[in-house]
Amino acid sequence: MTAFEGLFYGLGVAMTPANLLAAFAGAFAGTAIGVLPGLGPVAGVALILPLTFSLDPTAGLIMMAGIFYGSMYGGSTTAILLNIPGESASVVTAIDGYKLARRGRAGATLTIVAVGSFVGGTLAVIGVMLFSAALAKVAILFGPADFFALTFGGLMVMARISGGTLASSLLPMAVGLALGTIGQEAVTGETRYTFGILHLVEGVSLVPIVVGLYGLAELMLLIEDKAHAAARPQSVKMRELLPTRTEWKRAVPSWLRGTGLGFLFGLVPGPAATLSSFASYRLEKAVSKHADEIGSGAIEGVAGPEAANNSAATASLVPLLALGIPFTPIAALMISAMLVQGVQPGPLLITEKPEIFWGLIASVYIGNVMLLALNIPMIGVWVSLLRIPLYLFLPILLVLSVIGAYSVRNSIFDVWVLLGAGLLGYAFNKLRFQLAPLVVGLILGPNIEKHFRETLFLSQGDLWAFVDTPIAITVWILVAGILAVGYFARRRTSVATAMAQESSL
Amino acid sequence: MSSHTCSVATGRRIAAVAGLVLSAAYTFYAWRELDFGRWHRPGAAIFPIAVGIILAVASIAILLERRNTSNEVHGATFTLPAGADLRRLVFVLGAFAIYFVAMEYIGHLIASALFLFVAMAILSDKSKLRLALYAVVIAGSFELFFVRFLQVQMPYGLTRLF
Repeated sequence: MTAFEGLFYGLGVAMTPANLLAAFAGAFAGTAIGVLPGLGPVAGVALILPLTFSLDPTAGLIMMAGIFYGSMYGGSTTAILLNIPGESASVVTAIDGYKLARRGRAGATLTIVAVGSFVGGTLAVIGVMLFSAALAKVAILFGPADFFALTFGGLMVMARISGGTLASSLLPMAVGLALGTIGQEAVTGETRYTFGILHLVEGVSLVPIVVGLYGLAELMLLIEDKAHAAARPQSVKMRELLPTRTEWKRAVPSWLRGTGLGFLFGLVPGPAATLSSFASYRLEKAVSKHADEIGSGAIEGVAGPEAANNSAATASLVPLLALGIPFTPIAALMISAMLVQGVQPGPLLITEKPEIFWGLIASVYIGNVMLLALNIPMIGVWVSLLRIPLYLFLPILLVLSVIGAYSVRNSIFDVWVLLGAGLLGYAFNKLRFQLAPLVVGLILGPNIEKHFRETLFLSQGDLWAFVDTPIAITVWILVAGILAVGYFARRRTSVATAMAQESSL
Repeated sequence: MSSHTCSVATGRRIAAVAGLVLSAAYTFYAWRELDFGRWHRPGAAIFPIAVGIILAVASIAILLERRNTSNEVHGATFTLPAGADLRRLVFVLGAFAIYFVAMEYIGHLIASALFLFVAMAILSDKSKLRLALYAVVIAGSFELFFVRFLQVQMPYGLTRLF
């Protein structure tokens, strides 16, 4: 099946009433999650995860993907109207978006953002369609040493580029890997670190950890800081939604640049959506004809980053679909949903479960159209969501998090894990540790161990087997290169700062 | 908003010490309790020991972070709630923990309604009657949507009797 035949087959799958409903429900819920502070895309997808178990696997994954890109759309609404980004990828959007809103251009900016997100998401799907199918064909030839290099190397790269110092990501990553070793291990069935607690034999469930780290921790920050509750958005009228001809003209090149950049970022392990929006903002400042206006309310400052973060979010499906390797917390949750549904992620997915592979890709096209329809005419509804008082939605989200955590395994123990993860996430947020490496470490840990031990088994204990294939060598060289570039860049910045401080004395 | 200002660098060092203690306990357990195997047949202890070493290295790296570098990259300070803000946070979390415990005995529906009421009362000064009404309506809606419609299994507790 060629990529285009696959797409048509996928459209047939995605257009069934059940899958269309799943895409709509996902896009709708995702936009609401993105709009509401306190519940980002990761926690939103984690909460919905147990509900997808009762759906058909394709519908479940389509719904999760809908929440993912829906929240990317929704996150920018609060950034523009309240200067409060709904999720980290919208931080940059707030800079120029809020200033445009203060000048009375809120409606037009929201339209530019919605169309830009549509352009970014839709064009990136073409890339996903072509890349994933081609990569999956090659990946069938990968051995355990190659997968070990991809998973462990990818995790290291993710730790390097997640933000802050390398140690800020390495520590949570190691905690995630350690949590992943709890329970019965896959090779010999030996139980580890259970201390006689029966609930731990099956391992630590991903959902309470993710909802705790990303949801409960964020809600705790909102509870302690009631200042957020005072913020109330202005209303946006329908007639204000139409951008001027000049605004359209200025937005188009930024959308295209952002889409290209975002797609490339999406292929790299790490917080692609966030990084790509920052990179796009810098690119706009460097190449835009109106670079001098960026920072004080320029349409390019929102058009580029929004197209970039949606393009990156979509492109991050490539390693998930082609290799079965999750490099983002949301991809980890999608893998977890596949495993619960009995679907084995990996390069064989395209041949063994084409309805899931192509159905998911086609649903992204459909979901993006739905989001455009949901976001522009319904902007008033999303704005009114922001008027729900904090005292109502915080307890509601807390109860939802308990339902999500409990229902995965019907275990009250998991609800305590949720509370523990929430406290850990709160502390990590305060101390500027990264959360994503912990989640990805937890889900990738057992895979890394499996590939590590398989490589040693097959090579009769020869450690050179880890760098014995062209793919493994290439991956390790790339990983070493990225780590070295990161180290020297940080060192150069430190030296420059020290010199500047010395000269000012 | 009342708050305490704390040093990020100091907080990170405390976290690093906790990381070192955790890595020592974690590695010690693997060393003592799990099978090493051989290089050609690696046992269950090999990977946890490697993870323990990574955790120790990351913790030591944080302990060795220069205060200036840390301030530059992570910011110099963070705030912890104090006074009324701290009380609000502790009370909501306390109610949340009691909610888990109560859920098994009195069932999810009643426990949710009670938790919602208490949490809303802590977070707002609206009339208690109005908040109680909200709590009952929201808990009932959750029960209908999740438990009845989506067939999500939640603890029944006392409600099993009815």
